[in-house]
Amino acid sequence: MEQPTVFYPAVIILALVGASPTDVLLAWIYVGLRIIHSIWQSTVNKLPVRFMLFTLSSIALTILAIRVVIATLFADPAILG
Amino acid sequence: MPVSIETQIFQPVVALMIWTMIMWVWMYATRIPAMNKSQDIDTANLTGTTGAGLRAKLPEKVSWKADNYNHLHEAPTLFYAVAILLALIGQGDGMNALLAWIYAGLRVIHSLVQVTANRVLVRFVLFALSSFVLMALIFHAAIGVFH
Repeated sequence: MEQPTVFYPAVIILALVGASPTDVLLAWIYVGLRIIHSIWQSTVNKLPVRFMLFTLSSIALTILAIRVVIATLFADPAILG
Repeated sequence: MPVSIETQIFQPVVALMIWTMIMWVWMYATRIPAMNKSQDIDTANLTGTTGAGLRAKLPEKVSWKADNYNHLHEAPTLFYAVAILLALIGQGDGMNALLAWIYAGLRVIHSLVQVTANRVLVRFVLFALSSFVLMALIFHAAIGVFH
């Protein structure tokens, strides 16, 4: 239970303020990458690939987190479009 | 969302949060006196260690409290997420609220076992039961969001 614990509240906040299709897409990308990461770590587990998967998922989560900050700092969440 | 938020499930959520803070108090109520008593630990100059470093120098029973405090930040983080999600989709009442209370109760019992007798088989059964309850909540959430 590490990074996904940030993902859950981020998504719940976005749902509360009104998630855009971009947010939904980013969330699906994050989930997809984490599933591939799990399968990879449980089977082949070669480090460079795992690191790449983790980095890609981290980028998706970072963008989501930034969008949460924008959505909560500004009164009008429609700014995210 | 067209449905109204159903907040009954927040009661077991807050109960488990309070329990986690009780375990925090219990952890330090035993750990700090044990550190002060230990000849091997120079608390004032301690630099860059974790609970793993302390474990070797403190009585095992003291670390059990910290073990459980740490465990309360593992599977329960999924519980909080699914509970809030169920509340948001208007399904935080009835059976789901009951399941959440059962989950919180099992985690409290799990804590009490881990910091006292700490028999691994008992702990495992309690953990497995709480996990099945969590799976039921996640299953209900899956029906709710995908149907």
